[in-house]
Amino acid sequence: MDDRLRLIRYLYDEEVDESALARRLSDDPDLYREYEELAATKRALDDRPARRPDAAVVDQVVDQARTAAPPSEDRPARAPSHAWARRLQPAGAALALLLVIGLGWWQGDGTSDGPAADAAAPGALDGAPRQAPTTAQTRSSDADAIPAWDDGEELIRIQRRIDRLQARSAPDRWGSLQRVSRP
Amino acid sequence: MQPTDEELVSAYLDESDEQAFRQLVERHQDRIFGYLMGMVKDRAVANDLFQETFERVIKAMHGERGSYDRQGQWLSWVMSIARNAAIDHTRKQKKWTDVPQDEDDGRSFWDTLEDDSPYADEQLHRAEQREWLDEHIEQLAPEQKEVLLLRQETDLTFREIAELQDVSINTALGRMRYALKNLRKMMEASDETALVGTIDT
Repeated sequence: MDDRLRLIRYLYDEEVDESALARRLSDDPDLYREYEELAATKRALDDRPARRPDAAVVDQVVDQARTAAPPSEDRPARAPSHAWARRLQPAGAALALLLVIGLGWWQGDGTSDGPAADAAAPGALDGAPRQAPTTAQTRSSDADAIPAWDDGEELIRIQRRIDRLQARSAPDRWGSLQRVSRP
Repeated sequence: MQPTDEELVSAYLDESDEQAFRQLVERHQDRIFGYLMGMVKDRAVANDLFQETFERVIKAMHGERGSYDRQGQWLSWVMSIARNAAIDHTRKQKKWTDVPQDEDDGRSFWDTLEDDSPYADEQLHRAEQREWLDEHIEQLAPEQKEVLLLRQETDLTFREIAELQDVSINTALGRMRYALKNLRKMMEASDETALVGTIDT
């Protein structure tokens, strides 16, 4: 771009490479003279007081905007997230309950003779210290997992079954860990 | 922190928040009106065009006529509508120049003298300066005058002005350069005339 056009951008703070243009200004007296003249003219233009429309005109424009916009009660609610959350709460609780029941059922079957039991067995042999809690701790923590307000017979029965199965398998796993870790 | 134009547009369109729309209008009224005044040189006409511009803007924002795509350039979009309104008007009037300039704010000379405080003097001086400059701007070639008004009054960038006028950015910059240079010459000539007048009297 021509330096004289860049000068215009520079005057209006749009020039990207200001340092290069500043160098050109110091090297070229004609360019500098033009800059001074243009800058003086711009200053005169900048000093002019702003002009604004009549306040009544602005009020009329805003009135038109209000008339054109549909009343806020007629338009659909703007998806308040908390309303959705409130609506989803019962569904979420039901889903969580089903998940607990499903997990309990699956774990109960799997520990005895299912594929989960096969998957757990190698872990017991390597002696990885990932399942260290005692039977009592496990039982108490599992008991805590049952929500206090939920006294469904079926859930309690399943939880007891899980406890029994875990109590039966835990000592073996703990014992093998102890044997492996001793020198 | 001030909400952006786009936030105000969303508040108006999505929540029918008329105060958000008022804020938008008040934020840009000087720019839009300054441009319109520069184009038509008549306060009453500029007020009408300002209102007409916003009638079009409101319709387009609600998708009734044209559209606004919310691409973050609300002001340049509004300016394109204001420009069309001004061009429509001047075509109807069949005059780009030589519009009467003595109806600027609807006040007589004596009205401006009713307060003689230093602040009023300063205001009067600035108003006279403005009028004097406006007379010179009016004498510029139409395309130079428009670039100058768009850049000075509305603060659009030269790139936005080039898009608005459908010309290259170099053309827009060239027009601005000539506008400033010609204005400078006119001002110097006017100063010399005034000086000669002072000496004569």
